[in-house]
Amino acid sequence: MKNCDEMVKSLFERREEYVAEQRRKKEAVIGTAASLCCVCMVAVLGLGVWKSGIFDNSPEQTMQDALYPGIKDTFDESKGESPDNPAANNKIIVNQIDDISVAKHNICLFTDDFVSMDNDGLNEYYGVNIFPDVPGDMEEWEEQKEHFGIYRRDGGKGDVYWDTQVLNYSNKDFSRTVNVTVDKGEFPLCDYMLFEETEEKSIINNLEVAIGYSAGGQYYAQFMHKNVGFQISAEGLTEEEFTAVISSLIK
Amino acid sequence: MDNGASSYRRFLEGDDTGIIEIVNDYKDGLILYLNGYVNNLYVAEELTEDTFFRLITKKPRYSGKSTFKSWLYAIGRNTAVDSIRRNSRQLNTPIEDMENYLSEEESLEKSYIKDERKIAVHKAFSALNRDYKNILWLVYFEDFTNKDAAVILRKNDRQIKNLLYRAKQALKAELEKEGFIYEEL
Repeated sequence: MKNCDEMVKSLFERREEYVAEQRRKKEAVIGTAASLCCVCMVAVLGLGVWKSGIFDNSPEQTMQDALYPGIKDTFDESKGESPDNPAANNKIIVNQIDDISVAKHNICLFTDDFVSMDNDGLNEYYGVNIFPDVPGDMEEWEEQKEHFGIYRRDGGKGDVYWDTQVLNYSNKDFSRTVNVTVDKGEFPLCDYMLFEETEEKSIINNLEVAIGYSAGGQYYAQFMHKNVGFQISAEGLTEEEFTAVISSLIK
Repeated sequence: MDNGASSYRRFLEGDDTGIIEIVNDYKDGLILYLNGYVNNLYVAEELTEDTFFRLITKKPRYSGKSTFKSWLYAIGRNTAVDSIRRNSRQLNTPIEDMENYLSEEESLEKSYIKDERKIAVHKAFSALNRDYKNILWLVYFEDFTNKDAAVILRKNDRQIKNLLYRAKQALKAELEKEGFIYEEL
């Protein structure tokens, strides 16, 4: 058996291979994309040349008539600008990117940031009902309610940085269980990949839902509904009962 | 935040010594735990390496909701279950390697468990079913709380209590067959 040093060495070697493989794949994608870009550019240039009127018989335009159309057509010579100085035409636009939240990269949850919520509060936060209808013999676990809530920066007043909820239901002897995990704007973080995104999707109430059944007798489902990611697992349920649980969340 | 968590955080910030510390601290325990799933120490070792490999390549987010160790063990469990589902690993050890295998198992038990009586109890695990082995290993050998074990095994507290009770009964019966009394159970 390997000792710690050997295992670490093996891990780093495997990581190098993995990174090299990822790089190869990336280069292949970039190569393909570059080829496509070239084709597109040729098409755009062709169209541009066609539209520029080079084939028109109208009188030839002068520099003063159409200089860098759409970018800059006046020059302040006192600032060094001139038609012969391409730098004078630079146009820098920095866009605000709202999609990537630095807060989401944080891996620690602080208890001071926890904002407790009840069922109604959670539904209001997510903008959708996150509590499913389950078969009559099953009950929501009472003890889980104390964990309902979200984490906000600055002692619970700032930006939201963690909003995953876990809802559990079971019958008396736990032979039948339903687990629902939700996250706003994305699928809940899961270290175990259930779906590869290539599976054929079911349609429930006009929404695409990935549904799976494991050899261990468990049903799994994953879908985005009104910008909320749902992952559901269930044990001991029939297919009809499981789809009814999903359906109750997509109304 | 426990030491594993701070090591992992340093690793995420680009310091590879973080992952070396994690391997040093958790390797042996994880091998013995995953051995409960696959009944083969060599496969358990590969799965342990795969678990660490997931950490260094996928860099999953550790939220801090559970201890780092229970989070790591949960990833290990998923890796093992995934492997069993795909059934891609050869679970049988060739006969000619058996002697070497047994001595490696014994050596790992001695270095990790240390206590002779506990080692004897661990040997009795081989007759138990997988669920019983896993819960007993987590609670009695790794000192996880029921709550941590619930996170790792994806069960609730009540399920863990029931499972633990049944596992203890099964282990007691097994030990009594061997004429062994273990009062801590």
